[in-house]
Amino acid sequence: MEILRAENLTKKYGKGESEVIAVDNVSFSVEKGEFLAIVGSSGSGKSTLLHLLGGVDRPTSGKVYVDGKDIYSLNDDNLAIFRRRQVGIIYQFYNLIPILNVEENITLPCDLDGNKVDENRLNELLKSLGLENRRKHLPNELSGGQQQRVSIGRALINNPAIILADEPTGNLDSKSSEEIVELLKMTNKKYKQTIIMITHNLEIANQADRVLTIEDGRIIS
Amino acid sequence: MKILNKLTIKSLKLNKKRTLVTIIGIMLSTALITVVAGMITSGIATLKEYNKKTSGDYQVEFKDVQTQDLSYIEENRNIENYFLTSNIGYANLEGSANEDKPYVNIIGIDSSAQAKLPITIDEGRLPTNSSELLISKSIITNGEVNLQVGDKITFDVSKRLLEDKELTQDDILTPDEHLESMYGKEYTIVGIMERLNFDLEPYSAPGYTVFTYLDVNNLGSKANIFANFTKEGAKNYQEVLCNILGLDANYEKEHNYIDIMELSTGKTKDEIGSKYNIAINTDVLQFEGVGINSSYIRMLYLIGIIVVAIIIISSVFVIRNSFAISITERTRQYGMLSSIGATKKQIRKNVLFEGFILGIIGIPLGILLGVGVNFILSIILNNLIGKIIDNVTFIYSLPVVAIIFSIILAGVTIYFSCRSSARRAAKVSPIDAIRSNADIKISGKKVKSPKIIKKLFGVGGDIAYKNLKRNKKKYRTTVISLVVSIAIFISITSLVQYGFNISNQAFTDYKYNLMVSISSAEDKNEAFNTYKKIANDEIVNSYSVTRFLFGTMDMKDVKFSNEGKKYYNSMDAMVDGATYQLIIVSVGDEEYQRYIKDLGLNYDDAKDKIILVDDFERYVYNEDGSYKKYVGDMFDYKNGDEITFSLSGDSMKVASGVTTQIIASTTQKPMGFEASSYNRLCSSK
Ligand SMILES: Nc1ncnc2c1ncn2[C@@H]1O[C@H](COP(=O)(O)OP(=O)(O)OP(=O)(O)O)[C@@H](O)[C@H]1O
Ligand SMILES: [Mg+2]
Repeated sequence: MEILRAENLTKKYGKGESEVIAVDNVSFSVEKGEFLAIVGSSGSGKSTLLHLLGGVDRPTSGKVYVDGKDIYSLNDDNLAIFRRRQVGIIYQFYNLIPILNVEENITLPCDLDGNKVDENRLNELLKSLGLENRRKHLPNELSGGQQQRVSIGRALINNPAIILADEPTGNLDSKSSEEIVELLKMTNKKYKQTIIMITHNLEIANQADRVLTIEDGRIIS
Repeated sequence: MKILNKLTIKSLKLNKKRTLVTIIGIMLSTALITVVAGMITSGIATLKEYNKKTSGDYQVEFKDVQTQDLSYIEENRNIENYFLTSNIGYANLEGSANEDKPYVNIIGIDSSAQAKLPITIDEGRLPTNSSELLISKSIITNGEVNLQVGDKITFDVSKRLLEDKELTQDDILTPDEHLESMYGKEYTIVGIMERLNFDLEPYSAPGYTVFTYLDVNNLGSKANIFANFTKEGAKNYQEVLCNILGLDANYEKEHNYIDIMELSTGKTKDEIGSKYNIAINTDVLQFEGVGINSSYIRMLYLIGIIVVAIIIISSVFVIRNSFAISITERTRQYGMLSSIGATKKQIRKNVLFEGFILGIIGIPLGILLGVGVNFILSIILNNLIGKIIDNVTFIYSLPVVAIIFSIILAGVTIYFSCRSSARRAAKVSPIDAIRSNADIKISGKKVKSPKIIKKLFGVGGDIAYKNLKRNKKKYRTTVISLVVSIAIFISITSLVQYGFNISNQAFTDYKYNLMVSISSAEDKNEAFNTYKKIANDEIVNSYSVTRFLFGTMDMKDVKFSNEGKKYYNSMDAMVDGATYQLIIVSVGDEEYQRYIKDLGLNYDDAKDKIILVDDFERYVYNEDGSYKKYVGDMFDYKNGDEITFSLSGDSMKVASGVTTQIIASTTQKPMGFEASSYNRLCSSK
């Protein structure tokens, strides 16, 4: 079943002389439960594409369908609501809120939705992330790997349709990297979680179901 | 608690210093607003008390009401409270040196009247029984009758009659009147008081006021009733008065209650057709928010509003800054929140919540501080006023309404302070968070600075210019600060100006403080010497000696403006043989020179010519009560036009065919004529 489809996606920055076409007429689709890796050289447009898929940045032209719904037909506020319900984003630099503790950071999307946090789900998540004993810790009291696990927890808490990860291991040593990739693979298997992950590490990319290569904003394979 | 609010509180706690500074800012501006509100309410309360003390605690006096009719006024639903006095009668004051005041007027007052009338005792005490007497000091100073506390005096208590009509203090002494004795009574003088104000004892009253004690259960046939209106009644006091006085309220309303006004300024009830004579205590009534002459209250409020507005505007700019810093520091955080799905509305609300929390702490502290400062100020003021004016205490009054008002305004201040930050935070895009940009966004376009900037300020100027251009926000902030500084400057200057204007209106329609008029000067030299003596007195700052002549012209020779023509046509005055009367005023050389200078004219050009004072405002009433207003220029004379008229002076000598030149036409009037709206010509001789 198709969960996500990009149609003729284009994103341009700037105008005239300084115009940059970061994503150039890209079309592809992703099946539910698929683990997709995106590779490409620096500046090729990977992050830009990911943001377009996650409803973080509006495209210059083209469409993105998630679960059959054209997400850019939504207004800003509804797009924000779409993000917190349907998309989990993981960044290279974790982007946790420094003054909230582990538990609060993870439940943030839930709280924003005004929903009561499902304690069972939270406990299960914390356990599978190996953070049971770190619930009340602040991000700066955690290692890089642990922080990234918190941000994975935050991405998963609302049961999103897709997980978008932008070089989630880019900032970690090889051991931690491995742990994170294992974790992602595990959620992919266990919860049939759709994952799209950008990486520079071909070894990691090769563990994915499919690899897209991007060059100059275009998919070349 | 919602997570976003928790986040705000946490970050406020984390940035203790800035939080504290912001709270202090809020506190100070709230305190300032409270102080202004408190000073206004206290000022008004003080004025109110002061006026009650000096003019009496009543709003209107109905004079000589038949005893059986009293209840009609007492029970009127628009009357809040009242007290009574009784005119016991007149008696000859043996040996009075003032030939216009040969009597004493004996008035009975009970203890409530004693408390509420503006009686200032100089010596002795108030009367406590009906054979004790409190006398006016002017019997001694003006009447030169030497009475002292403890003296016994026998009065032949009488009615003052003109033919069959009983006269009162409102009727001046007439040669044909006489006293009709009722009974003789011996009184003991127990006190001496200051002369009563002219509402209670008119200047022209023929009897000096003396008070004795009145038993209200034993009133004579008539009594004076002094009443305060209810709040509602005070608002429509003219209508209420019409009803009580038996005047046609509708007719009066259409004519701006002219009869009520004339009745309260000296016309008698018979001239108006009213049931009673009345005296309105405007000093007190104006504080009930009625439009008699509440100029100084309006002025107080207006100054208050402007000051508060300035406080709010400047506070907004101070507090705003600390919100802006707080938001800038957390741009990344808002971007992050946005990327995980916080809506713009949630983020905007979150910033407003920050303002709310700071307000919850800052406003009560500010109110407390303001109340404290007010309290201290009122103590200081009391010491100052007490030393300057006797008998006045500055009343400290800060009603709950004023506090609520301050809280609301402080809230408004905070809202405006964080509104723009809230909008800015809501605009932060998730991408910004991820890239974590600084406040400077380099726009794609190249910023070119004009060559002149480089030339004038060198490379430094060039960079500064580019910086300003690139960082539009800072650029805007700088411009806005400048604009606000200018705006504040302008509002303060116009405040001062406005204040002066209004106080001029409130306190003086006239540019002079004293007018001495000698109308029947048989001996011109004596009159001249009197003027000279006054003019040279050291307390006189400036003066003008004014004299009139009348000039007459044929109506058809006068160059009227269109408005003037319309007016006289509507009066059917534009007929053959009708004459127009000009009033020619001479103001003396000194004032004329000053006046000329004010008008921007040259004295040598103007000295033997005339200045046309041309401002007119006339109402023509139709029978149905409607009216038409004529206003503007009455004449059509140009500067330099000649004008010819016949002259008639006070000695009726007539010179015909006088021709002179109009040097200017103006609406400005020289000292001595401000209050008049008649058309006059001014000349120096
Ligand atoms: N906000 C922006 N304004 C202008 N150009 C931009 C902006 N964001 C990205 N670009 C340009 O778009 C292109 C693609 O950028 P993107 O960040 O998607 O690359 P990337 O593939 O993620 O690179 P990396 O592997 O280094 O993360 C780059 O040339 C970049 O300079
Ligand atoms: Mg990237």
